[in-house]
Amino acid sequence: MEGGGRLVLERAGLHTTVQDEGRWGYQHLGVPVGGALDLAALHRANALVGNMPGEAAFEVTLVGCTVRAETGLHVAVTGARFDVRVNDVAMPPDTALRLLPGDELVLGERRCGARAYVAVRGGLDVPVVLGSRSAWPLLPRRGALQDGARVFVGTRVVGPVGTAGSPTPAPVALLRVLPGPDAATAPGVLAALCDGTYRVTPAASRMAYPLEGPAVPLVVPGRPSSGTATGALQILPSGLPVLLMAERQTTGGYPVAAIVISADLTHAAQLAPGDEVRFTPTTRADALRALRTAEAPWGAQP
Amino acid sequence: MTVDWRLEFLGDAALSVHVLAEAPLEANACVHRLAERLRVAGVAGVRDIVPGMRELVVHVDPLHTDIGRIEAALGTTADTVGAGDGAPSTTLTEIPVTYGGAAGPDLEDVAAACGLTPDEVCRRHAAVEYVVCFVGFLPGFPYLGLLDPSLRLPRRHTPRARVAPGSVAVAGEYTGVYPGASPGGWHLIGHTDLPLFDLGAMPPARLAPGGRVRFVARGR
Repeated sequence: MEGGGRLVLERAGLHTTVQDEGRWGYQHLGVPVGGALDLAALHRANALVGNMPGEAAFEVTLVGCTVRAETGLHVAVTGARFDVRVNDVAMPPDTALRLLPGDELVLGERRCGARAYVAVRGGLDVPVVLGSRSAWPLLPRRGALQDGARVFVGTRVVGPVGTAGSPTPAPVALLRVLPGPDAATAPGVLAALCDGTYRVTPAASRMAYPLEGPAVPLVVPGRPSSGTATGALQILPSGLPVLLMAERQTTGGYPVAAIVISADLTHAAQLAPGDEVRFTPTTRADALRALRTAEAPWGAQP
Repeated sequence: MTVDWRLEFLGDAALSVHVLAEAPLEANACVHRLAERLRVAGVAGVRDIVPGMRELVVHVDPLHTDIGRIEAALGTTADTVGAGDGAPSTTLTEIPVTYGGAAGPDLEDVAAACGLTPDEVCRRHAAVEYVVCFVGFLPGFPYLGLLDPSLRLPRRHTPRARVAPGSVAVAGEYTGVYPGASPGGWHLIGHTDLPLFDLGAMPPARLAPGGRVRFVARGR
């Protein structure tokens, strides 16, 4: 039971990928970071099965999936709330589950949230590309998984099963932001953004969520392209904001009005198309406190 | 003489250093010098150092790092970057190009818009030694500057749904090469067979920020 196992993704759902903490160290060459959109949920799932918090797991988007164990496995499901069943028996979320060879784990109807994480003890054993096991849509067979995909399980464990973990937080539609670099050039832009109620459009992807709602005029003529940040709220020429997510392009030229704090990216990741979202200003000190609280079991205290 | 710079937080997990030099290529050279010094210094907690035209974005692991410490380290390093320091990179890459025809379907239109002959567009495009000002948009896509002012055009009104890999293109003050197939709004004036992004190579991108590039015409 210490990994070295196999599973088959019988039913892949809409968009199921392998994700870890992303492909850091290559953004200067234009390589997107990617990785789990909801890092906190990835960390909780891995902790439940005794993995390193950043171990590669499945990210299951909007539509559930079916995993059949070919060997004995320990798994845990966190993040978006789906009806979870093992061989047709309902199971609680945020719990380590034991699968025997042939057992089927089903993520059925989605109740809330957008992205669930299925961690397997030992980690998913897909090849490392540029330091990460995360999916990369540019690579053949490394984008969304297909029905029937067979995935091997690694042997990388650091703790026992089922002793660590914490419950999935309730959904939050109010995201805390820090002022973006271009906010100062247009007084009132941050207040306008925080006054509006926005809706996630169907074009939302792992790269970015285009939002609809009140326009926020912010045009910075001749602004040169520069490095982007996850959580940045770029303002298009139409005045509508776009929230950049983990798979964002590494550089961009649109002005940035505000940036969602790291601790609240976990909530941003759980927004589905059609969901409402609002923004509220905060401070860097509060942002760091929130992150350290949310990720306390896994964060080193500096 | 040291250059002026301004440091800014980009949320709680990144910082940006703006170089305040006026001339674009001078500002860009300072960006590369600063990036190089930070890389050599190996500041703990820094996950990525990303040059732009006039800014350097430094990504930090916010959970395990005190971003205030990175801010201080950045300031100290930026203070050592001089405006007249030598070029940080001597790497010159020659890119063979076939201009016009099927290889560069927009060459005639670019020539017409610039009031030049197609041959003159190619000559001026290949006459400049470019700097890889930054890499972005796609893995390995180089923003090469600066383009001869007589060749500068806004992007196409209607972007193409698919641009062939290896397409040599111009837009605004840059020229670039599409490393893989993608949608694109730049004007395509030629094509190269030189692969720019190869996952089997380390580093995977042939052109790194700060490098130098020359296009060598292989005919039309």
